[in-house]
Amino acid sequence: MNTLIIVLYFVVLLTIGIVGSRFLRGTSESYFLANRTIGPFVLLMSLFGTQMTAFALLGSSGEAYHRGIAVFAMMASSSALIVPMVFHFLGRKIRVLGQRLGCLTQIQFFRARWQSEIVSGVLLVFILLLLIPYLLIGVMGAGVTFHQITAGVVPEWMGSLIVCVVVFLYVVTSGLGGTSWVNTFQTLVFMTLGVVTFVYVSGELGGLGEAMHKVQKSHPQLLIIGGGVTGLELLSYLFIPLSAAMFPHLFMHWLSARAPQSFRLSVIAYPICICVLWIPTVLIGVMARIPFPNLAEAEVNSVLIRMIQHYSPDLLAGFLAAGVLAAIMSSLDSQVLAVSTIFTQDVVLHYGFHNQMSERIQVFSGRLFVALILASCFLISRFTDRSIFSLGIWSFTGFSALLPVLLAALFWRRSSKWGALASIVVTAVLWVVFFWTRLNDSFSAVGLTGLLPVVVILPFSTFAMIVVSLLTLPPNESTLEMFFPRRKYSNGEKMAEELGGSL
Amino acid sequence: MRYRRFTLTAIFLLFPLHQDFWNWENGTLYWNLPVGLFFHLLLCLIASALFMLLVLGEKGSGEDL
Repeated sequence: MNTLIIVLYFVVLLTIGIVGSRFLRGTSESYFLANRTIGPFVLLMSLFGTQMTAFALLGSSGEAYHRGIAVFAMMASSSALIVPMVFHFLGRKIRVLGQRLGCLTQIQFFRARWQSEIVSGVLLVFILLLLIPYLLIGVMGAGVTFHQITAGVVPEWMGSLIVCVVVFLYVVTSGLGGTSWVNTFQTLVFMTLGVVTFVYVSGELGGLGEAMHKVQKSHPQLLIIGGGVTGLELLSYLFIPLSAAMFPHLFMHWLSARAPQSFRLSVIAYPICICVLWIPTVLIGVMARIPFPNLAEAEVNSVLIRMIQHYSPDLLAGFLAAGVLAAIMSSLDSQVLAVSTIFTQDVVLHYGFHNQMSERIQVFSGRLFVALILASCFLISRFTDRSIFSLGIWSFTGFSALLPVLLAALFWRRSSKWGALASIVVTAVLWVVFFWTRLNDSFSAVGLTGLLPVVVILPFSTFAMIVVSLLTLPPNESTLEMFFPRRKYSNGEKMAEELGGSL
Repeated sequence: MRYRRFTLTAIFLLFPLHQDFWNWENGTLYWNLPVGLFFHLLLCLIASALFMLLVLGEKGSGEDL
């Protein structure tokens, strides 16, 4: 029954993808950015669905099993405060500048700002490196989910493969427009099913109050914030959601928005969406201590699926499993599309064809890279152990520490390409140092302070940006006019060619 | 301008509140939720309301950002 429901769910996704493909115009802007026509509701659902990965759904309940309700304060309410501000102050500005400059990717945006092949090249390599563990989380999470909901009938490798094939089919069929529609559907599915699971599971435990009293007696430390986190650690976690500012897949969704006003709903509703998704999953993780008091470390990531299987009837379990897959695929599709767009626009088109490539070939190249990226992730996932789940936070750390580069690009006229390069290099070096020295540990704090590495890397990266910019020559006037214009440019007016700048 | 400044100040005040040290060891249940979780839920809802004040107070189409 579970398998049948999931097959039907995949058919619905592919149907939405096919319907979405009818709006493709054959141009690169249509395929990669949905002609910049995404409205407020689809934008909210796409942004939220893209942000909420297997890490958010499976990882949050698993962490809550160990650390209790502190997980909500660490990961959820910190995002609810930071991410909407990123959308409002950075996302809208990028959307406006991106259209004026005719940018399709984050790398094009930075190349235009710094007028430097070195800066854009180094940034491209570092961003792709940071995205690899993030992509692998999705592919591996899909395999684990499939394996467990089919009681071991479908092996993990086959589960990963099936999800890669489904994502491939709807992404190449419909581009960003159809993918955003599919994301909207999937986000609604996993939010609804998260609440349904929570209501059903707590009902089976005699109601929420009864379940909480049971946990209070057996594991009281799970119901207090101080039971799972230190003060400095909680403070550090406010820096992690800053990563939203530099994610290439979010950048791509921002560029696809119909207008700056389209961000309003996302800014207002994002904290509410966070509560709707995270409170049920965190509480399910806490309540899992009642039926499963002593799960081994390796079993904790699947605690949500265990609870579904333990308490839900077969039919509901199938739907709930589809909800978990929805969360995984709604991130994987946008990430793959963003990386394939970067490869097409910033590697093949820019370096290989020197910006001379027909629109049709660009779309074909984008589709080809979707296949190559998914195939590579699938193959790498076969040779990587499950500790990759802990790498998610390393990915966030790297992206968060790149924030000064974006802030300087948008708000500081005096910032120079050498400052940007210094900031990226400092971030990359410190990230690698922290990563290697803690490779065999779980994600741990700096020394005995409780602070996460991002709190150390971010000031160094900011310092490098400021000092090196002040010591080197500022950008030329025509570049500054593109980003800090003295006259107003009308909606849709492309200024890059007019000013002689290049992407 | 004063409206925008007030809204932004209120939003930034949420960051120290996020530290929530006064509920650090409190495991009381409010409406069947642990008080720490209840507080952070409330924080998110207040944030949403303040973000609404912020975006609705913005004038113009935003194209001149």
